[in-house]
Amino acid sequence: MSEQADMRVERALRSVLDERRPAQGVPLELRERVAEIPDRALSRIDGPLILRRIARVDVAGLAAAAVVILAFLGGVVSRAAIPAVGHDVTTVPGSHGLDADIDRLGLVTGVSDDVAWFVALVAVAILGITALAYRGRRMRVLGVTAGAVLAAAMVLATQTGVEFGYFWGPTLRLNASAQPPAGSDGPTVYYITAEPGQPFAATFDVHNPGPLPVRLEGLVDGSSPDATWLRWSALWYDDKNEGAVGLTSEAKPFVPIDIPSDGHLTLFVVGRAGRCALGPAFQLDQADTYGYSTIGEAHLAFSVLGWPGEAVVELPFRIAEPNPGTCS
Amino acid sequence: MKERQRMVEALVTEQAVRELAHPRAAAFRRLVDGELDSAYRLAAAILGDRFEAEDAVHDAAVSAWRHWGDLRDEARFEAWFGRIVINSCRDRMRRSRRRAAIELGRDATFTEHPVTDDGSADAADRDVVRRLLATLPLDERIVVALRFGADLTVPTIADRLQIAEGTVKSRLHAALGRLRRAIEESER
Repeated sequence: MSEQADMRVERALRSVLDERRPAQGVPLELRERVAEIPDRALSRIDGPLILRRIARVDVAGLAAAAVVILAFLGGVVSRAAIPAVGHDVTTVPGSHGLDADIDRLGLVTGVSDDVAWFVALVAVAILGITALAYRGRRMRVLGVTAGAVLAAAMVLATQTGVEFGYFWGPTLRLNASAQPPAGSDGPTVYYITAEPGQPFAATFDVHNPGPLPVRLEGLVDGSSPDATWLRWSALWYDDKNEGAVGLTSEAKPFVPIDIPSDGHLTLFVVGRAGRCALGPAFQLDQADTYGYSTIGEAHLAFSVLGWPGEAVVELPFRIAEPNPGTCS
Repeated sequence: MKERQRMVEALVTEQAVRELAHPRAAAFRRLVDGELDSAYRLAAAILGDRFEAEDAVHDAAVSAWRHWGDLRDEARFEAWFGRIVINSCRDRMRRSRRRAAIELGRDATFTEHPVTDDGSADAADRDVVRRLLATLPLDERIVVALRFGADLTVPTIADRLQIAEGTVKSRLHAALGRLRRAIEESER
């Protein structure tokens, strides 16, 4: 009985719903309206929404992605490497032995992250526009995710760098007997005993405390090659020494090198005494009678994920150049 | 004649160029056009009004264009667009229900002057069903329209509505029960 009643209801239902069925197919007018939807949407692009048109150009998105990849993997380091002068320098692995007469090796004139910031901002802008322009959830999620990854990489890259490690020592033409002044907790002072214009050298190791590998790009020195005052003149390294005090016989001409997370690298910094340097005549017991030019830090250029940076490494010693006061 | 042929060729070329420039638009037109007939029938079955169905399908197409990025696989377009059409119909039904609540007396007038086809029992049944269909809960009305109007299977309805098959069955059962009781009462 109930089954019959159900059949009856179903028959009535089908009949009523059949009445609703359009006698003909979709009206032509509706078909045309639907076909026009993309054109109407695209023609609404005006004013600030012109950006939407930009975002729709796949080439722009691809170019942005390529720029981001190049920026981070290729290393947009806005720096000027300086060609070494002096003796021939070979960077063949295994070739080593510090040659302090080579000038301008491993030096960079400065570090600028302007280009990297510009590229990052353009990339973020394009990702943002893409995410906003495409109203689909997938594109929004993609845009937001890419932006977040980019932002996280930027934060990590800008927060990472290198710092002084554990070991240091004088290497060439530095008075190693000098100690901090009595009663002072100041750093050790190494007095330069090199003749004016002659090289001197010290060694220390740097440490990468961050989670990402750091690529050391060189020693920053903006002075002119013709400068006659105390300056850095070259950078050497020893990557087999694991941060201990380096031997000059193991030093290698500097080339950009990666320091892994929590890794150490032994560096040899070479400087040139200024033209007013006192030279080997320096006597420690007469230290109070001279004036001094000093260096207490090294500026190292590096990049993390291609993002350039400059680390000011505070040295645990001071390099002091005694000046007799008779030179001008 | 040649002038007209040139115009037609120009239009065809313009359309081809436009579609090349906007592959997304071309894909949209191709897929929506293929589903328009069934979408229209579906909307008409749910809404019971040709003009409302046209508007619902148009709204659904606009919504599909806006959310085109959500369509991961073109092979799933039919189900995806079907869901959008049903949601569009649901929105229209909600709005019309609100309007009906404001337009006092409309239902009463309808009830006082029922539409009758002829004097047969079937006609009486249809009359009862026709009147009661509009008063069914929204979800039940949609399920009934999809099952008996669009002839969709229970699993397909479950997929379109993103609900469990058991829920579809229980809604159908409840709706049919209401209609059966109404028919039985009308006979007393």
